[in-house]
Amino acid sequence: MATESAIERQAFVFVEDLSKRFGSDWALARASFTVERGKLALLTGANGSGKTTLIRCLSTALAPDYGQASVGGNDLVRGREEVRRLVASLSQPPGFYGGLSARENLALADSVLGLAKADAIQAVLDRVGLSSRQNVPLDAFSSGMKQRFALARLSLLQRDLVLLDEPEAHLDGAGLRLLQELLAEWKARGAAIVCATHAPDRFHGLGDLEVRLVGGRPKHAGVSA
Amino acid sequence: MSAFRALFVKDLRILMRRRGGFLSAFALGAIIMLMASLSGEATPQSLGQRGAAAFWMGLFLGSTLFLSDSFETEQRDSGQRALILLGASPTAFFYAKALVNFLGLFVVGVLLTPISAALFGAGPSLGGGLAVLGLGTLSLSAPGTLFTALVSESDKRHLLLPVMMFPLVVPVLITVVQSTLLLTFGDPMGQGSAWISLLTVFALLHWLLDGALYSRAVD
Repeated sequence: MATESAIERQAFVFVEDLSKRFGSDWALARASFTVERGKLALLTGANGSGKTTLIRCLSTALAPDYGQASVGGNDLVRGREEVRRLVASLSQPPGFYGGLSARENLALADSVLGLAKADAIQAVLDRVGLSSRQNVPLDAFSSGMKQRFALARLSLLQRDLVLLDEPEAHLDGAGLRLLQELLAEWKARGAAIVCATHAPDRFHGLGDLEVRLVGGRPKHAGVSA
Repeated sequence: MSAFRALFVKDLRILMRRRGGFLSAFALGAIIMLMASLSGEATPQSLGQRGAAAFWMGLFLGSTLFLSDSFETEQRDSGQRALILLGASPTAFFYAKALVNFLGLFVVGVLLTPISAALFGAGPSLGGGLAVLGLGTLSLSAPGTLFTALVSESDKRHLLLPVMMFPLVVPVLITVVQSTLLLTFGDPMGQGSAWISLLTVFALLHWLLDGALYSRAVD
């Protein structure tokens, strides 16, 4: 028990027997792993294996039915508000206002979340290659450009835990390289990253841990190859 | 305050860019008033009495289209959900959206007023009419904002919204119709201030209680 407490203290993300049920179907069953700051955990597995459910539990969008998990020492359920201030996620649906432009969406997030980073908005738009389309409503963006916008928001937020659900989707070759560069930067500044993907090879050299889910259960949790 | 202001500007900006809900609310309200004006006796007294009820029924049913469209922008790409998961306050979302919904419904009501006057003849004075319209739309916009969030996950949300909201706003509708009638035909018994006070209480209750319940509806 003392060893577990030590692990919980050391790990930024601590997941133990985390389970989620929809009706009688366990979408996620007894998932356990830890992620330290500056490390990237890859969640892999077939469709329906529970990757998205696990990401949604960690983002506090879903409350787990069994088990426990903490982020930065805050329990997912009891410390939900504290967890939310530590986490940023990229998932589906994307979570923005299609009637507003990329710049307006970032300025809204900056004001509503009290980030005080209005001066950094132009830089992150430049970084993801959207500066020339920054005043166009997101409804007019392609799927790949929307994914770049989501990366821009993650860059602006600079949260301690980054949750990604298939971030490589819709990205072209340049977009994929941008994603890999950003992941390396986020790791270097000490963020913990949990990334659900069907293509772990696209994160070659970046993943520190692979958690393979089969039918909602972890079949393997070890150092990424 | 900064979060509220940013969300208010966001909702107002989206309302100005997406005018579909606003125009639908106006069109439905006008159609309901037209149908009411063509039914029943055509005496000035009868028309005037029907006019108050038709105006508020038209505005209420039109408001369900307007409110649904307003929440559609939150629902479609989960913009509100994403910001709440990042730590934003659901209460700030409620008050910003309810205030913009109030402004939108108030403008719809102002635009419907000359149509009501043309169809039914008699109408309240400008000052009194605007005061009742303001209090009435305040009392509709707060529960409307809460209920659009409550039914937003349902496929039948456009049907559910008026069905669920109507029982809750019946007291408001009775009060605004009575207030409008007193303003239109005179108030020899001095009942007007009591109806207006009741309407003010409804507005305050809805803005306080619905704001407190909103976070449970969306989170």
